[in-house]
Amino acid sequence: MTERISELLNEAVAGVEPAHPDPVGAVLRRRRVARRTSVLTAAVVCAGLTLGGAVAARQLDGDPEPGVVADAPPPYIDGNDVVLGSVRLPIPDGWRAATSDQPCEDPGRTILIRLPSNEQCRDSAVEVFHDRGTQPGGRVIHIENGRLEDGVILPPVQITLPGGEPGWLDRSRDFDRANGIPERAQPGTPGYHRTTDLKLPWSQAGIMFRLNHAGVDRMIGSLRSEPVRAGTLALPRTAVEADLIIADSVRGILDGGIGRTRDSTTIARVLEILRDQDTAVPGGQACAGSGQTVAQIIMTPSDGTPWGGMPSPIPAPSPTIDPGDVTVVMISLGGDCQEAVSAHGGRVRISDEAVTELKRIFGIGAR
Amino acid sequence: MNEQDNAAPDFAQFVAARYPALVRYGTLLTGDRGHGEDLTQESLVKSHKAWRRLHPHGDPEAYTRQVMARAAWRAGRRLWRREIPAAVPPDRAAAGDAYDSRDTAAAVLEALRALPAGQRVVLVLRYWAGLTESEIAAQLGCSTGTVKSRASRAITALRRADGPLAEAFAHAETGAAG
Repeated sequence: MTERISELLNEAVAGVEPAHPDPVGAVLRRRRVARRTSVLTAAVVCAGLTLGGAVAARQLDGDPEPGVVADAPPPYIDGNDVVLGSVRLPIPDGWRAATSDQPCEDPGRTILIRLPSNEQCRDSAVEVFHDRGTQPGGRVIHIENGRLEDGVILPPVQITLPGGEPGWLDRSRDFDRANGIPERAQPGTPGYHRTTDLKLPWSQAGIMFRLNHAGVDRMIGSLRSEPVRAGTLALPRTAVEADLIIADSVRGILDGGIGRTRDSTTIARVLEILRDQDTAVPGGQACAGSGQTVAQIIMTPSDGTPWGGMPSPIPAPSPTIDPGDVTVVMISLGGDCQEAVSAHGGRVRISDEAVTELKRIFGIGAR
Repeated sequence: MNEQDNAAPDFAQFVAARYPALVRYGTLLTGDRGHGEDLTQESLVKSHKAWRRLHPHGDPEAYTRQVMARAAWRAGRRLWRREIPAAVPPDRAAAGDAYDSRDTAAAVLEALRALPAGQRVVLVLRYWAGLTESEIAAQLGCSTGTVKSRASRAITALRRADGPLAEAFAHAETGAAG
């Protein structure tokens, strides 16, 4: 039977010949048309924004490819900026930037570039470091929900830096400098201070601020990023486990906002839903902000082979994904700016229907 | 530097060498030669965009075929996309015509067109491209269960007694029995 089907299929196209005499020219003409369409789309979007209307632009350039995260070097100083991948942090007047192998001076006005081989000066006001991990850190919360027995890391909020780079901001950590146990730290007690972490998944870097909120906001406001091209979500081909956690910056993890699945069919459906979101969002149109609730999806790869035994779907020159690495997709929910970002690259608009189905799949009620 | 300069000579050589085979693949994925060629060209646009990554160290044909398969697969789930034709072009004989001289090739394409896109793509990847179920699942981003069920439904549909391929299968089974 299967041989007969193969024969029939072969027979069906054995006599098929292309009709187009100049395929190369045809392809290049299509590409030019697609480019013009994109430019036209961008112009329409700009015009719409100028008039004050929010335009949810759609890529008309066919199906965009997955976003790409370039392999970023460790942070370094370039003139008056500290460079973290495609993000630049201007060094404020009166401040200094120094690597952690240099003498510790004036920590309250220092941007410390942490070297893996030298971890001194860890009380600097701002600390930057190379971070190729995909999972954001945060406060571990133990919830008696019977689903995630080992506790849950509170998801960060998702923000958009000027230029379009996404950032995952965690203001949840209070640190007792004396003993390093976050949960014991109390405002007003000796040694208490607060840290705010900003993870830059596409630039493979992290920033730790030992500043008050106003200081953090000033620093984040000064960040600049290179314009980011549009790309769909870079996703694994499969995973053995997927978690969905819904949280916001005020309430933390929402009541009942946690789901986990290890069912391969369910995980395949989750990936399918995410792949179906093909309206890629370029940097200039990204809008995720800290006031939004986030839905964080964490997908754990299969059995030490990150992509189910298949070649990585993340196109070069993305960095090689380490076995055991996970994929994190952060979805900013609600309003006119519902978008999803993959730590491996790519950002898309995500539909209400998709969000509803993801919640249903993970057993989380509609809110 | 214009696009032609960017493309030449490697991209042009690739297209010239592989275009007919890709069009045949596209014809099977869509059930129609015209749409197959359209799908091929659209996919080659993406290969052209990705050419620096694909050449000389990548596999542009595999990339192009994957783009084609995924696009054809997605076409079945996006109603606003171009519809795959459900009917044959008007230069074909009508059913029941005494002078109906449809050959097997035309009947196969007609049967493919009658299949939902998902079933058609899985069928082609499984029985023409020779991929395993897990390879198809990985390529399309679905589960192997989905692949199995789509392939099974496609075969059932193709073998329908009142379908365009009933005669072709009957011949095969008669031949096998004899």
